[in-house]
Amino acid sequence: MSLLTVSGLQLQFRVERETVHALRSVDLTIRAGTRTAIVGESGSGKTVLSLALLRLLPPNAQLAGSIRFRERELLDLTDAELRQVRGGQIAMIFQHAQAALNPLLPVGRQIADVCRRHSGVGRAEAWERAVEVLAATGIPQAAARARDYPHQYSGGMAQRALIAMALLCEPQLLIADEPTSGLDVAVQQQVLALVEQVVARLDATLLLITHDLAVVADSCDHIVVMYAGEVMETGTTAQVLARPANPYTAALLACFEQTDGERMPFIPGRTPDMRQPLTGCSFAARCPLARDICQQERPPPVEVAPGHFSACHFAQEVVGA
Amino acid sequence: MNATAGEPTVAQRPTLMQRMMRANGAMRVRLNFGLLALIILLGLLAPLLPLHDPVRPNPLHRFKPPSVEHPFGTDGNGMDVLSRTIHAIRTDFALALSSVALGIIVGAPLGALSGYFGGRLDGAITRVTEVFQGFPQILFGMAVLAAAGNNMVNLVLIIAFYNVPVYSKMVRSVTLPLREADFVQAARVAGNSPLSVVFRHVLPNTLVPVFSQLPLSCAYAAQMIAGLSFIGLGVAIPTPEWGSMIQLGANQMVFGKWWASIFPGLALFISVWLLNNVSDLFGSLVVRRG
Repeated sequence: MSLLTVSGLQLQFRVERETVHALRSVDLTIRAGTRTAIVGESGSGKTVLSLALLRLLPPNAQLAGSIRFRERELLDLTDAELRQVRGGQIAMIFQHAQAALNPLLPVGRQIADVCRRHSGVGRAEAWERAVEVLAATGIPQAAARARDYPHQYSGGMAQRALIAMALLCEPQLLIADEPTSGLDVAVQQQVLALVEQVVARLDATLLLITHDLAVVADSCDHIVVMYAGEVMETGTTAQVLARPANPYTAALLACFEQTDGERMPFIPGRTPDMRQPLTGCSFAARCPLARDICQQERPPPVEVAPGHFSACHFAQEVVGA
Repeated sequence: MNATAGEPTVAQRPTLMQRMMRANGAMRVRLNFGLLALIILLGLLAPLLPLHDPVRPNPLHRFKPPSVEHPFGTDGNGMDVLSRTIHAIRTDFALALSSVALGIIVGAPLGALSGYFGGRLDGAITRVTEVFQGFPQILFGMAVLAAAGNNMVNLVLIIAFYNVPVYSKMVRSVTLPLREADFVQAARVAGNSPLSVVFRHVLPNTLVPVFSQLPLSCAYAAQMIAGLSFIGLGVAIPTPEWGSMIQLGANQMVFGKWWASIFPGLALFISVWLLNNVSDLFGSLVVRRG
C-alpha cells in the first residue's frame, strides 16, 4: 500500500523579478514500511522536497501538483488539519540538531511539550515520558541531562534528543534530512543505527535525505535520485546501485568508486540555471550520451525492470551497458 | 570516542558578569554597576534614612545655603534639598522603569508578530509605529498632558508610547532571521500553531538586545520626565522630582543661590550617565555573541 504519493509536484520561488524552479514536476511513490533514500548533489532539491511535503515553505513559494498522504491530499488541508499531520503523522529530524532545539528551553522541556501536545498528558507525566525517551535513545543520566540546555549537549546527543522527540510523536512517516552531517564518523553510525531502530520499533516509514551513498546502501531499501529538481531514477537499492539506468546515477556512483585517488572525482560541467525553464533533459548539458533529442524533449520515466524507473531517453542502453 | 558512555562533561560557562568584565575591564563594570546599585538602594531606603520630611514646607527657612542641618540647603518652599533629591530617585526611577516596561510589553510582541508573519500585518505595524515616531516628543507630551490631564499616569503613557516603536522595531529586526532558524522550523514541524511558535520560541530569543537597550531607554525616559516636569508638566511640586526641583531653583541661580537646582541636576546627570554606561556594558555582551 502506498503511504505517500507525490505527483506532478512543482515548486517555484518568486525572487524579485525572477522565478527559481526548485522542483520541476516530481513524481514519487513511497510504500508503507519501506526505507527510502533521496540522494542527489547540493541544490538538487532534496531538502526543499522534504520541506514541501510538510508545506514548511516561505511565503514566496508557489506549490502545485499533488501530495497524497494516507489517501488525504496535503495541499488541500487547512492549517489546523496540517498541524495535526505535522505533530502526529509525519515527523522530521533536521541536519543540525543543535540548531533545531530552542536555546532558551531545557531539552527535556521541549520533549515534554511535544508529548503534552501529542498525548494530552499532564506536565509531570510528560516530563517523565521525556526522561524515558531520552534514556531510550541512549542519553546517559537522562533524568539529569533532561534539565540541561541545548548548548550543554554535544551534536550527537542533540540528534538523539530530536530522535526522542520524533519517537514520542509516533509518526507513520519519519523524514530525516541528513541526520548525520556535522557529526564525527563513529557518532554517525550510532545515530543512523538509532534512527533505524526507532523506525523499526514504530513500524514507521523512513524517508532519508542524504548525499552519502554509503549510508544509503546500509540503511535503505529504496533509492530516489534527484537532479536539478527532478527525479532521475527510482528503484530498489540493489537495482539502482548495481545497475544504474540513468547516466546521472552512473556518474554519481563513479565518483564514489574512485574516491581513493589523490584528486576528488567530479562530474564535469555545472548544474543547470534554476531560474530558466528547461525544455529537454536537465542533465543533457553534462551527459556523455546526450544527443539532439535530449535537448528538445523531456524524457518520461521508463520502467527498465519491475519497480525500477529511469527518466532517460536511453535508459535501456544505460542499464544494459 | 564513545558517545553513549563517555560524553565529555561540559565546562562551566563564565557568568554574564564575568564575560562583561573580560570584555570591558573589571573596574569599569564594578564602578558602574556599583554606583547605579547604590543610587537605587538609596531610593529604596529613603523613607528609613534619617532625613527631613521631603514635602514639609518651612516658610522661615527659604533658600538657606548648605549647612550641617541641611547639607544641600533648602529650596524656595523651605524644603530640605538633600531629602528631596534622594526621595526623587523613587519618583524618577519608578516612572522611567514603568514607562519603559510598558513600552516593551506592548512593543516586543508587536515586533515579533510583525517580523514573523510579514506581509500586510508587518506593513501596517511598521507604518503605524513610524507615525508614532514622527511626532516631536516634548511637543506631543505637552499637548497630551494639557488635553488629557496633567498627571503621572498620562506621563507614563506618553513615554511608553515613545518606547513602543523602539522595541517593536528592534524585536522585528531580530525576528526576521529567526523565522528561518532551524529550531523555529522544528517547532512548526512538531505541530505548533503559529502564535505558539511566535510567543514560545521566537519572542524569548529576541530579548537579549531588548534587555541591553532597557537601561538606555530608562535614561531617555528619566530625561523626558525631568524635562516635562521642568516646564511644569508631569510631576508637580510638592512631589519630589528632579526636573521640577531644578525649575524651582532656576530663578534664584542668578542671585547666587545655586544649591536648589545644582544638586537635583547633578543627581539626574549622574543617573542618566550610569544608565548609559550600563547599557553599553550589556551591549558588549550582545556584540560578542555575534
